[in-house]
Amino acid sequence: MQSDTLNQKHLLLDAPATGCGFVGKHFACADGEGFVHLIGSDGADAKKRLHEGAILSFATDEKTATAYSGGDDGAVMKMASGADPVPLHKSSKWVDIVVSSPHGHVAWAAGKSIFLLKKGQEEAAIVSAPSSVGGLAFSPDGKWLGAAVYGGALLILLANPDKTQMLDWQGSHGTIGFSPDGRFCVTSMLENALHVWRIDKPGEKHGRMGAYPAKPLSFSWTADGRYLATSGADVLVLWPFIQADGPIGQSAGVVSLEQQSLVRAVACRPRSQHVAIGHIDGSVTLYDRKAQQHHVLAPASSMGPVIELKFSADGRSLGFIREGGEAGLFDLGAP
Amino acid sequence: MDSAISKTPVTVLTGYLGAGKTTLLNRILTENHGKKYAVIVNEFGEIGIDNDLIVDADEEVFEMNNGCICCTVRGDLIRVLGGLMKRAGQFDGILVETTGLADPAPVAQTFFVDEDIAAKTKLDAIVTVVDARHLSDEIGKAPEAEEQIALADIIVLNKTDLVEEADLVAVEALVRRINPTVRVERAERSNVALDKILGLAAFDPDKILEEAPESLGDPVHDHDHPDHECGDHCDHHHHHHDHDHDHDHDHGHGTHDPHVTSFALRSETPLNPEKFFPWIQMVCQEFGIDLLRMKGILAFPDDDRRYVAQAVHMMLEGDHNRPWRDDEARVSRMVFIGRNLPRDIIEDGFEKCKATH
Repeated sequence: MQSDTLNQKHLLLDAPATGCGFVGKHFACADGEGFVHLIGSDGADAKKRLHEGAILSFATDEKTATAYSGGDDGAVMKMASGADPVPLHKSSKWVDIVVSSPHGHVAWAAGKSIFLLKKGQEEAAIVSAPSSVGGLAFSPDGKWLGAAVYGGALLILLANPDKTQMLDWQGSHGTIGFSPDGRFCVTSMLENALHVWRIDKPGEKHGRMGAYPAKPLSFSWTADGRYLATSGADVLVLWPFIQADGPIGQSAGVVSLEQQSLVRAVACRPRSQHVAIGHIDGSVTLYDRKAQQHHVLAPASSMGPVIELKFSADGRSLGFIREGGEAGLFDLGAP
Repeated sequence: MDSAISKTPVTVLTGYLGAGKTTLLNRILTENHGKKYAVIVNEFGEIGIDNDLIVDADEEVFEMNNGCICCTVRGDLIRVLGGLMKRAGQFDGILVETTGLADPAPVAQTFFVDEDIAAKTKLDAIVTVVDARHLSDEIGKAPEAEEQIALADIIVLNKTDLVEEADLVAVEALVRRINPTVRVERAERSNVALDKILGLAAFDPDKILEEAPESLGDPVHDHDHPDHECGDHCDHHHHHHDHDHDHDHDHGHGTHDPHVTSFALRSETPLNPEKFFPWIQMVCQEFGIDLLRMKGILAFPDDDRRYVAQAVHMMLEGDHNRPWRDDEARVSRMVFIGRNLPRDIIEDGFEKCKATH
């Protein structure tokens, strides 16, 4: 794979990029002045202003071609393909996080409140968190909405949002995710570490995944679910999720990278052994775990760190954003 | 230093209840200074000016997961500053208003701990508004008021029109006893000139020690005697809020001695870095709970650049900055501010760091 043969699109935004995702056949990205930009595979782009201030949080549902955005204007907006944007929420608090689930649910956090709007429902259920919320994620098995909070992870049962379970670990937790089999919950922490719990035995089966030189804010499970790829080091860190207790009691594998630059974002490619890696110097590489080869997709850039990478569900397209205000889209062909 | 220039300056406004903090904030927001600020407030008051961005955040103090009770950060600040950076270029500075009872240490420590915050913002100054009438009553009773002075880079000594000059001098002396390097700006109704408090990089220990009197740390001219009258019976050297021991002291009526005091150390002999770094780390570990602030400019042998160090509790940072000028003496100076710090032990350790040993 040569980078000069890659079909790639670039778009310069007029403000910092804040989030991205696929919306139908388009790659969408949000910016710090309230705009959502859409880039088509043909290179055409369009933008629409959804918020008065910065878009702080952004989520997409590729299948239904819907984007959700949360802003520092206190609003949550829903933008479905071909329809006018619809406000879902408005308050005086910033909407720091918004997430959507492949099952059609959407959730957001403002201050210490978590809002869960289930598919087909008109009104969001509100759950009080013990602190402001660092991150939200739906578990792939459709059972939980997880919230990273001060002191651990709060799991909210989707079937009955009044029922919650706290996975305890002292400290401030940022991003959150669930293993593809739904058995493990992982959070990133302020102390340059991840924490993992086995959800069925969180009191005894949990552990710290540490020794990172920077915060491992971005992590992604490989398509086969056997490894968790993480950012936060100048190597690619892969934690094994193979044994019954996952990475608990195990050590991480590391893959040396040609780029001598911290990894800021990772995304595992669907239906393949590829891991896309975004660096703080702005470069993007693709690591092939099977062939153990690296491909440089985009060189270092003055537009700042790559803060998010997203694959389309079919694994053909890879989109990324650079913090300074640039979006890129690659057509990698079928995986 | 290009990266430092592009960092957004953050000014923290503290002050005990009723000192005039909100009045000062309102002045900053209404005065025609041509600057645009984002303001982080903890309670929506009457402030709110079209041109500025007001963010309402609840103070959240988070302990770090390292077993250290003094390693705390402000979770709300990490979140809000991160969000404000998404509006890059839309304002010239950020103001953080803390509640009257807030300990400013977690605010300062946030800038030490969070690399993402430190990469984009810079703590410009902790500005503490002090009520000239009530300070001497608060000292010795309200640990928060002492912490706010100890951590301050600039004190706005407010309501000076309501106090006699002799009392003002006494209050200033009290402030300096807690924090000898702080700059004091007198004000009535918080009317301090804004260019005396904003955009000065006053948190930079280099700046502070630069402005400090030459005699600082000189044992011959030591500015006052530390609170050794506290004596050995005084075992209140842990836990900020354990201040129910006032009655143990017999200091007479009307004046209270601060629990927070300071001392300065000075050496004309360069320090041996191989001894200095382990020592200062040990000091911060050992006495970190009681150590509110440390600032130092250090001279190492055969090193043409000044080394600047500072700490808040156990969080220590330092770096080389500019070269020593030809016309300045290569003197190492350190200031320690804290509660019942064992001056003799620290001074002895400092002596042993001298390169002659």
